[in-house]
Amino acid sequence: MTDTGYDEWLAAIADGEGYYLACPDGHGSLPPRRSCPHCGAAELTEEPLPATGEILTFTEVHVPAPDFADEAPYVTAIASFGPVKLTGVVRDLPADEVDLGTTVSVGVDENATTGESLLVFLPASE
Amino acid sequence: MTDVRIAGVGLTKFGSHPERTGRDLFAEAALAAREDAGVSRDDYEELFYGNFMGELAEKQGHQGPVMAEAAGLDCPATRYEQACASAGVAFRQAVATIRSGAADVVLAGGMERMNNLGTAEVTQSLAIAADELFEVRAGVTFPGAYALMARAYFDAFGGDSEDLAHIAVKNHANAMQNDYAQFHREITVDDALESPVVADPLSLYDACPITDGASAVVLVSDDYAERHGLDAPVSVTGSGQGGDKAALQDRPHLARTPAATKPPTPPTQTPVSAPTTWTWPRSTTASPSPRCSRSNRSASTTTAKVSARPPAARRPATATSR
Repeated sequence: MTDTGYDEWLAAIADGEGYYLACPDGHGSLPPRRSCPHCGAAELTEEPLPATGEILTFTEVHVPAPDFADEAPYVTAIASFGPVKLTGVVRDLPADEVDLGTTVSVGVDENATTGESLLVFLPASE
Repeated sequence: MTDVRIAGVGLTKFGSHPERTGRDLFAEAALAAREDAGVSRDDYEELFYGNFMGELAEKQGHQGPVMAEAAGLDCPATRYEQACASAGVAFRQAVATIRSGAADVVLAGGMERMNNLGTAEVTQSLAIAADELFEVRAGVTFPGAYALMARAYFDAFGGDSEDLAHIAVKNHANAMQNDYAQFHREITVDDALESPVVADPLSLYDACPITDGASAVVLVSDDYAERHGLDAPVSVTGSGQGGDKAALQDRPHLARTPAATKPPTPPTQTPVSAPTTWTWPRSTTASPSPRCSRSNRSASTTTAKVSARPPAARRPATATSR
């Protein structure tokens, strides 16, 4: 399946050139968007995603959907990257070392079950 | 604007009925509501029906007319899908339709069938209420979404798994008094704390059970109830619906659910002087989807306020103020 807008965004993250969409009022959002979800402004520009983010919350999922059968248990987290928040699977960091405030970078890996691209958070030093 | 009365109600036992079709579940609830109401079949003008995952559970779309037939009705029938608030939204639309004068008698309700699928398939089916691109592809399940919120809540306001365990203990104790409840078994705090982890920090008893069930209500206008001498002492005095961003990552607060506390939206709130008023805050009263029988993560929540009064009471003058 092709998801125009989203696929290009994920590919840019994989290339280390991640971006978000900014409206004139400074709200951040992620593509595909034609207007700002926070204020409705139609003028959106691509801005560089900050190199690191901070984990705001996370969960270790033990009962997965079939698409994550071979990943479980896995840690899904929400992390803030400047004006946007991203949701991804934490890799290369044991679950008991994940905490609120942990600094991470964002990348793209493969879902072990489906082989599809997966947004991941990796440990990062400030 | 007319007031809305509840003329009849019907409910299946909630639980595991993997062998029963959705149409049979809804038929049981709808026929019970119709019998309770005693309204002539020809007087039903609309069916508003809520269902979330019928395409996945039964490969059945276009459920409105299927369920009208199941209910023994011949009237326009519309399905509402709004995740766990599906039947709540159907109810709300029924109230708005009667208030507007467009109909005098509406059957509203909902049905969910889930146990014919396995746990993994149900987990996948419920997850489609989350944002597919940004959440489901990152492994967010429904217990997972609540777990993300629970951990953020603990961080913002304090609390821990033991506090949640008390909720499960209380819920199970309440169920002992309810013939329609899925489980009739009391549990202890230790039972809850020692149960298998579903999505940390949530374990088995923090997660809603997978449930099959249906419910229905017959709603009528004040005028219809009086003309037909119906025993319909309960009025719907308000209905509200709140919204939020679909994905957790797009919400300003991960530990709050502002959609659940937004005030009722005009014009469906009418001030009524009634002897008793109480809130009826859970759309799950009419929708057994497991996701919402706890505080609402949903981007859409519905509430209804009802009040009891004598069947023949005249609409108070204040009711016309909106």
